[in-house]
Amino acid sequence: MTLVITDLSGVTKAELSGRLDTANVNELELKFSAGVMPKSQPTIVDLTQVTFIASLGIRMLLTAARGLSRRGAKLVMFGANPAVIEIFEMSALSDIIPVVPTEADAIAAVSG
Amino acid sequence: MAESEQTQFVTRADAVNHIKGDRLHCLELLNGGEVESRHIVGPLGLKVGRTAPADVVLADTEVSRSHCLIALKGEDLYVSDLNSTNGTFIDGTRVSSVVPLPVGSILQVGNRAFKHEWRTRAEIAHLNESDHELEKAASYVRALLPPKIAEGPIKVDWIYKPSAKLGGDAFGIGQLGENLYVAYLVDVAGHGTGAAMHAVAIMNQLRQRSLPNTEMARPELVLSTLNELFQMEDHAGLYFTIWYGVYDARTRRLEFASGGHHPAYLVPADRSEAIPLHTRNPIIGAMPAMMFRQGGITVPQGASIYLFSDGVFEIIDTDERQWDITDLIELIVDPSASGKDEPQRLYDTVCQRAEPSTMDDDFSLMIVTFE
Repeated sequence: MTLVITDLSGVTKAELSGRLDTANVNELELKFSAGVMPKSQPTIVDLTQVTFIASLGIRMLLTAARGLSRRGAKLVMFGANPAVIEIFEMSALSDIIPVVPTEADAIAAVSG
Repeated sequence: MAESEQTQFVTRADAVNHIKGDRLHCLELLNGGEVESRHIVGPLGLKVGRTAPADVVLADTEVSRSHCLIALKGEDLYVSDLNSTNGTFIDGTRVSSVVPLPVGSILQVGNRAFKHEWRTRAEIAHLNESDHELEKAASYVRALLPPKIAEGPIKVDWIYKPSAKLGGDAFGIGQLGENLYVAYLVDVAGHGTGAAMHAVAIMNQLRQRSLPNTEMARPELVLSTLNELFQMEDHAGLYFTIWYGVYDARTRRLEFASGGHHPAYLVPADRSEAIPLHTRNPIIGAMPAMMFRQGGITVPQGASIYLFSDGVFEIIDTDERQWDITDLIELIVDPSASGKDEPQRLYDTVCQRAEPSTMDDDFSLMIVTFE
């Protein structure tokens, strides 16, 4: 499981890869929120390389989305594979955090 | 000169020995990034194997009966493999003779891994105390679970296997009126006593049927009220998923709603199929003022509903394949199964198939059968 955070001129991009299971989330959660929250700016999360997401992974994303929303910034996810989309659909997470196909869509969504 | 005579000179080596004197070598069995159990290696060493009389018994098919030996020599630990079938590894390197096990290294035995920690007695006491707190919290949750019912119009059977670090699962069944029955399962996202106590708080609301201004026989309203009462910001960032159903024995109608939860399944007596019972609703506590929907189905005579948490199917099997809910459904409708002691059968089968370290969440499953 890896996390790469970059700044795309005013938009934070967090690139996750691997399995977002309990063990990996325990290891990564602090790094993720420390990388995303203090900037308080629109954030896009790249899930292209994420193969699985457990309930703690959903919590990590939801906590960040709620925190950013309180500071007036949006979080949008993109690139999720069908298995991950299925997990989001089951929990209706996409009603709370938008999930779009591509990075360009995500940038458009957080900027809008 | 008098002063120097009184001063006790301590060399660096003495200081290290002094600290060592209070420290113990521990092998910590890992499970999903958490410590499942802690084993102190004393002067007699420790033998790891699949069956007794090994000191540490690992129920894993890839572990040999007598797998490896960890010995204390001087101040250090040494590992030797006892001609195991699948080998013993230290940080990925196979052990071929007697080799040292450095502090901080990972000892791999079959599908399980130990971390070598060197801890003070005070640290160990503190860690054991928190394990004890988890056990107490688990027994508190267990005390709230419903009685199993083997006879009568509604039969109830279940299994609850909390994970080493205790997840936030809980479930229940109750009666709302002469012919109205309610069944529910909640799964708080998180581990530890916090998640378990949150589950207890939700359970108590449901058990006492005490939600404000809410008709408990209307699943959509129950979820909507829970969502307002348990917003994650007000509850230490915790949210939960739920499946909630109400059965009317006069009409054989089951009304249900799931909040962020996967489906429960309706399985006819002949177990020919498993019908998902799911309504697409958000996770409870994720966002206020959300709309909730409910669904309904007529329950055939002798049919059962299977309610379970995601810990039941979110595993990786021994072929390294990630399971999803359809893998569990195959097990549920397996025609070769007798249907007796069904929760235990499913638990045993998942245990056999899963790579043990991936069963890192609570395993909760309840079956309610409607005669």
